[in-house]
Amino acid sequence: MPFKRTVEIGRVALVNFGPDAGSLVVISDVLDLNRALVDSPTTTRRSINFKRLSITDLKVDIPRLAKKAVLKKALEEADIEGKFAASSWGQKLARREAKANMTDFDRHCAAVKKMKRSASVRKAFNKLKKSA
Amino acid sequence: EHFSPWTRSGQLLLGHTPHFKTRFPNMVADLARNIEAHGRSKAYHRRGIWAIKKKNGGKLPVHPKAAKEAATEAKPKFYPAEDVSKPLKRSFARRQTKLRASITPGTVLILLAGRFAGKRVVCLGQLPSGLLLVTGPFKLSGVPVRRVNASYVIATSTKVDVSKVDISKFDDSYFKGEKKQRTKRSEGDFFEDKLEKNTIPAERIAAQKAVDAAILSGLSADLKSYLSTRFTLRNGDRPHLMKW
Repeated sequence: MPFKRTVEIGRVALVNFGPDAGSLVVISDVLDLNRALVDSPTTTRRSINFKRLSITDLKVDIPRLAKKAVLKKALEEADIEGKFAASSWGQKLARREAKANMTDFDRHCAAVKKMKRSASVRKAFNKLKKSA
Repeated sequence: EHFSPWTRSGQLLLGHTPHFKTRFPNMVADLARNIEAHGRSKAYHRRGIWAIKKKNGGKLPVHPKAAKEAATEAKPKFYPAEDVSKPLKRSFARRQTKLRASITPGTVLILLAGRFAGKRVVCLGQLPSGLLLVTGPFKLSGVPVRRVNASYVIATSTKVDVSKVDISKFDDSYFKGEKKQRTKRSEGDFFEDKLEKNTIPAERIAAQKAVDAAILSGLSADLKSYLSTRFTLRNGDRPHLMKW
């Protein structure tokens, strides 16, 4: 099976380790076998190991070592942030974050909802079981 | 390391801290025990005895002697065989404990210890002793208006409107239990089964109802079920990762 997501200039990747884990970056250049030069509109360009990146489906058309303004324009036109947030990967991350940020009250409400739901499911199931 | 008495660190070693110097500005540290840094004439000059004498017309001022205390305590009849140690005198002013910023009037708290451990409760405010004043409300969780230590409480981020509640009549003396009367026990009492009915005075019930009415009216159904439920840990819960 061929690889579909390749490391290339303009490839959007998710940083998965380090102080800014969870942020999207664009590969600006490849330094060597292990490291890439990575850039984003809000951070300075820096080198990062590929092991700290998870590459996504998304890609922008930028030249090698593109200037910040060029990069920013390309990202905005392609709406990379929006597309990623709408993808199932992005939604999964958002759900995880929301769950981690639940307060005690939220957890209680979720538990009550779950109990009510399972009660109604069990009721319907038992009804079907009886009639079968 | 070699400490010289003439250096600052040497002076500190001999006990002459900056605070000491503000109280005794004319004192100089000894070079070593009982060996003074300056001789008699230098010390005389430094202490300013000449200035005191000048002020008093050539002589040292004489102060009238304080009258000796005439009343002496009667000698005790009993001396303990071994020395009895007296506890040291403690002089400190009790202050109201400073609460964490997360605890404010109206915050929902989770009680962590005592009879009502796990109950979710509304904080009404802080009493002068430093303890928190809380209420269930009684109808929802069975917790009456009660004092609770802030250390044994988790403060959640959920807030309830308690602006209409008046807590002026509740203070620490309200919660102090009445002293039980010690009656003389006769032989018959040991065999009888004396049951003392613990009735709550009507004013307390009325005060509870007044406080709760002010809170209950503003609660949504979700909040009501929240306050009726006890907090428990279940499998898979990670309290160190929970946000409250």
